[in-house]
Amino acid sequence: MKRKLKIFLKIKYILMILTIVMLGLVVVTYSMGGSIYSYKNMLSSAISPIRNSIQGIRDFFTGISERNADREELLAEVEALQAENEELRQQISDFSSEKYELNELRDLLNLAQSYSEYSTVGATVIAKNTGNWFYEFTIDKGSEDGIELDMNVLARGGLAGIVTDVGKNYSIVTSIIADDMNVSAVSSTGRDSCIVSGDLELLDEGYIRLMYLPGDASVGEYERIITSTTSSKYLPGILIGYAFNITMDSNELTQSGYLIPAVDFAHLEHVVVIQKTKTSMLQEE
Amino acid sequence: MLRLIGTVLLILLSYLLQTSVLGMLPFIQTTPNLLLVITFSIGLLRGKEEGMITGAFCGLFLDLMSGGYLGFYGLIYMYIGFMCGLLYQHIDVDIPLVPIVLCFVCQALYHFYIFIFRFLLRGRLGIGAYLNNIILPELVLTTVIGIFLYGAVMLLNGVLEDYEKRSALKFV
Repeated sequence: MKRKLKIFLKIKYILMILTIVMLGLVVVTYSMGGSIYSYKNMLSSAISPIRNSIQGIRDFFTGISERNADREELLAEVEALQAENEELRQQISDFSSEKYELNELRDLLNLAQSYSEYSTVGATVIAKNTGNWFYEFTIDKGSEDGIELDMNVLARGGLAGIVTDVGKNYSIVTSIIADDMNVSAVSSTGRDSCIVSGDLELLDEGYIRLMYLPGDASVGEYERIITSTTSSKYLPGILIGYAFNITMDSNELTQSGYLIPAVDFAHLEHVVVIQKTKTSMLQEE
Repeated sequence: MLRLIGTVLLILLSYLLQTSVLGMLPFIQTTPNLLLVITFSIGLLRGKEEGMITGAFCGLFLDLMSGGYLGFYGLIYMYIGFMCGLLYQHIDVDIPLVPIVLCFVCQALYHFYIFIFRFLLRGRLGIGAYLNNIILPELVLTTVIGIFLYGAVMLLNGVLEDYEKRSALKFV
């Protein structure tokens, strides 16, 4: 009996010590912010190649299923794609002349270059992280490929998220729809500033919140909302999504509404990372 | 020794399965929480010491692999492992209802913990929407997959116990 009690006390002490250690770790990591991420590197770098090979296996199987698709279907698809190709070629020639004009005008106005001219690197999403509460994902490019903390991540032309952790051969991206993410934004026509904020409550309906729009601003239905120049982490001029259902708040000073993200977060597979952070851009200027 | 290697491999495999395979399937919107299943299974089958250590290991592993605060998941996984370990040898582990009920309770605890510390403290109160969109889908999927995983852990545990018994006999 006495021995049993002793063992019980012993495990109680171990539990207590472990609890204190973990609480201490939470406090330390909270107070140090993003500066101690390097300690995670060793473990995660070892896991990353396995993840890449899992991705490879998945690609292989999707490849097989695609190869076995119906021949007729494929021919029809080729035809449709050829037609689309023709159309796109036409558009390119239109755009290239417009781009020339745009550059001329930009030079005249002495404006900064648009984000399409930053150097970018493509990456594949290899894992969705820890549970369903937090919208984080892991990509297969890391510091070896020139990725740094706070770089912006795009998918299909829209802002997908921001790099919050970098390892040797992987990085973790927190998406803009995560519940604790806020992006300062402007409307594309009126340049009225607002805040785009992730909200888990609305996510199932496919949109997030748009807040603190000035009371006198007029934002049209489905108007493009882009990142603002005042943001400390996001590069200016990146498309976030489309605003809708903007109404006056009860304080009569601000307006708020909803935003449909430009990125389809449920089917995120390939992303593009802009290899320039806002801080480095500000330092250059 | 074999048990230690086996457990670490099991955790690693489940983690990869959870994040890189099941988390990426296009037709499933939610991810099952396999590490939680492993934690409570080992607590139930091996007692509070091993449950606690396995839980702490799983939680810290998740912390290391995510961008959050180190020790946040470690705490809840450790306590879940410990609490399931308290049931060790008090209930019959062969009844299929046991893992189902335990999986349910552990998931509820885990989600409640995240809701309180990461959402309620920031003033986000929409528990109804969270319940609908996040907690319930994950709970159902984890329980369904959890029954099989629990069976697998039980099988592995049986094999290891046989091996340990045999090597103990040899030693004598």
